[in-house]
Amino acid sequence: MQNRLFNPDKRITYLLLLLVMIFPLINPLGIAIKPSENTLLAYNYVEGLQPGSTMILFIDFGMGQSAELTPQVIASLKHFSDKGLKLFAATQVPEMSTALTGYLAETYGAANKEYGVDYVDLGYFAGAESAIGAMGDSLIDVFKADVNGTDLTTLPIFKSITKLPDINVMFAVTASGTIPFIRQANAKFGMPIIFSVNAVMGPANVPYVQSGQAVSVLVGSTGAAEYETLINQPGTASAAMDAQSLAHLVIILLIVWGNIGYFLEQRRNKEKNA
Amino acid sequence: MKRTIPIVIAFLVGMGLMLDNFITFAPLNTAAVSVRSWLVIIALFSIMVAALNLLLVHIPRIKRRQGTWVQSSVLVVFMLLTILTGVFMGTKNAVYSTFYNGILTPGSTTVNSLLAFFIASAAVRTFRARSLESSLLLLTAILLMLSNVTIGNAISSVIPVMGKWVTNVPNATAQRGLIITSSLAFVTINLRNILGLSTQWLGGKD
Amino acid sequence: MSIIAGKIFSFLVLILLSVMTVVMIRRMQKSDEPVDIRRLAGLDALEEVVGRATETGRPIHYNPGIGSIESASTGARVLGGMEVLGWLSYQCARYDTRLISTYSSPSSYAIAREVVRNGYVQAGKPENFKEETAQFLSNNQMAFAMGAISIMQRENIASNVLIGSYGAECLLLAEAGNTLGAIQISGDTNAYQLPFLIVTCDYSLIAEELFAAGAVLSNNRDVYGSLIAQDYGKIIAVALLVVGTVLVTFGNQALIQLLSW
Repeated sequence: MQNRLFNPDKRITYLLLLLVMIFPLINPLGIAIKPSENTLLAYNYVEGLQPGSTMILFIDFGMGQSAELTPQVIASLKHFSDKGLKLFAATQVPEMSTALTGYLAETYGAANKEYGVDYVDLGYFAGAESAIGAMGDSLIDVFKADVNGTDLTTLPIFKSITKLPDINVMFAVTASGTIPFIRQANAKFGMPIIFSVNAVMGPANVPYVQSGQAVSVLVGSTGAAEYETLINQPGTASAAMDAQSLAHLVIILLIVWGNIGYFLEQRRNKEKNA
Repeated sequence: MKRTIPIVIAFLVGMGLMLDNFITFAPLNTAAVSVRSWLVIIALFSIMVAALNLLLVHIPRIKRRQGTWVQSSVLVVFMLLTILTGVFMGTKNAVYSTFYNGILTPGSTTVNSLLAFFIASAAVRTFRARSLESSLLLLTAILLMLSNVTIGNAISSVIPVMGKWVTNVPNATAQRGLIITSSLAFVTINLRNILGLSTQWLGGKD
Repeated sequence: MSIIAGKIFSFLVLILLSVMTVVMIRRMQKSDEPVDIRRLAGLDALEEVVGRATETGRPIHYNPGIGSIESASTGARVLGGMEVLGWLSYQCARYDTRLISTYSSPSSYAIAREVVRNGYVQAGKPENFKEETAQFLSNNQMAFAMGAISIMQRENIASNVLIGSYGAECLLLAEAGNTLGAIQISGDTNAYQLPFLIVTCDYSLIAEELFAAGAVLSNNRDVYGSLIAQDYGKIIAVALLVVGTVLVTFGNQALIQLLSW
């Protein structure tokens, strides 16, 4: 009986978690969002860029991670658009080509930026790291045309941009790994890279920020919520923060509860053996 | 000969691309540019191989009406529909968009969201303070779980500060160790492949 | 022809590592000296995995994750997993135990199919190799995970071997295996997913233990040679770290300049 009380069925855990996540989505708690050091690093770096600077965006996550990483993409693109940065956008995940077009429409398109002058959708590219390496020699050779089939050489945004090192900064949103980008862009050309990764990847990428190989690493939906706070445009990440907080709290309480049961059982066993 | 030619090609391409990273030599650098473009094309072919493999596995199952042939039929039908609509009608048409926004997106995000529940049940099941090390692990996990969300700062402003220290000092140190050792392993293993000392990538034993 | 400025030291280190690797491999090929690798619980458990599946008459499931062979970082891990797969397929063929392996990467599938078939051929039972022994599921991570989980549940697997290169799907696969009561062994060098694998699996091969396990199982002296070369590389890295820390502490930038040479 005691074992079942302190080690409840998984389904009870799942139900509790579901309830605490739904509740704040309906009744927001309004817990304050305080930007962390990493988010401030990224934000301040972009703030320091001059209007007309060039940025290349790589989408390297699948549909599965889009719920966590899309808010960061949207918040960042809104910031880049407000700063007047010229954007080159591409994805190495086939299923994200359509999503990328949607991100650009929601941000640069909605801000009435001119396609082909202020931003370009390069769509999907095959080859992952090999292709990024090839971009170091020539962007035109890798892409040839934009997502609409327009020859890149006819687009004004490509007037002074022929290869990856010509672009000022990279923004890589990745759920698979930061190392390919560091290898092909930062290690080869010293290109500054801002990463946005999902939460599990955050701790592993701290050394790259400390060594200067990455400008910053924005972590998960918390990083996105902090970024939305900084640009003063709350979005889906901010809305989800309360739910995430309560979920973490419930998991911690369940772990503590399980440990209480464990210690009680240990004491009972000791008394039995004594 | 069947194994020798691929090994020679792997050696030439591998060494060429490796040296291209370090050496300025016009013929090598020009060749490397072409080879990197070829790698992009080869990657595209691997997607075609994948699609073909799927058909080769599932169509015989449908023909024999064996096992999960109903699910296989669904897979093949939707795969062909997606390919045909995407190729002939473009990716912006309503049918393709319905597959994408109505099936692929919600399906993928739903499955991904299961991770939250699974890690919760795994953590609740596994995190027990059985020893000093596991107790430290438990306390660190609790600290980091609180510091990585907004409620940590709401409980106490010390929590994010401590969480940041744990992430930037002991965590970063351990991660650096992992990065160095993993990188050394990747270098030696890939060198073995490039130099032809290991031919496992050709299939079968060395 | 010249070496690119800023990469001279890296180039010299690469040459040194290459020479060390070749020398160690040649040395191991020529000598018969036994190699002493510390005990790995995950490695010992592999025999238990096969035994349990054979006794219960339920299959073993193997999966190398979503990593592809052609990628520099994931390729090494997938190939390390293939060493284990080769051993596993041989053992399964020997004891007439069902093996089901599932793949997400087309290139991994192509090579793994040959590795598995070869295991059956070596055991003298090529006719027992079936297509379901090596199945390509989907390039999409989550679709692949769901496909693998449904196979695991339908077949009621006895053992789950997850050694290779994983993304988020590893937690789904491992937790599903745990729900089935399967004995689970995992192995990956990826720091992102290791915590999930360690928490959900009975045994885990952490980082380089994956490569060591492959070496022990395949009894391939070449792999031992590269492991020893890695160890020497680590000694050099530690020496540089210690010397660099001392120098920088006293304000000397010599080593930093050398590394940037």
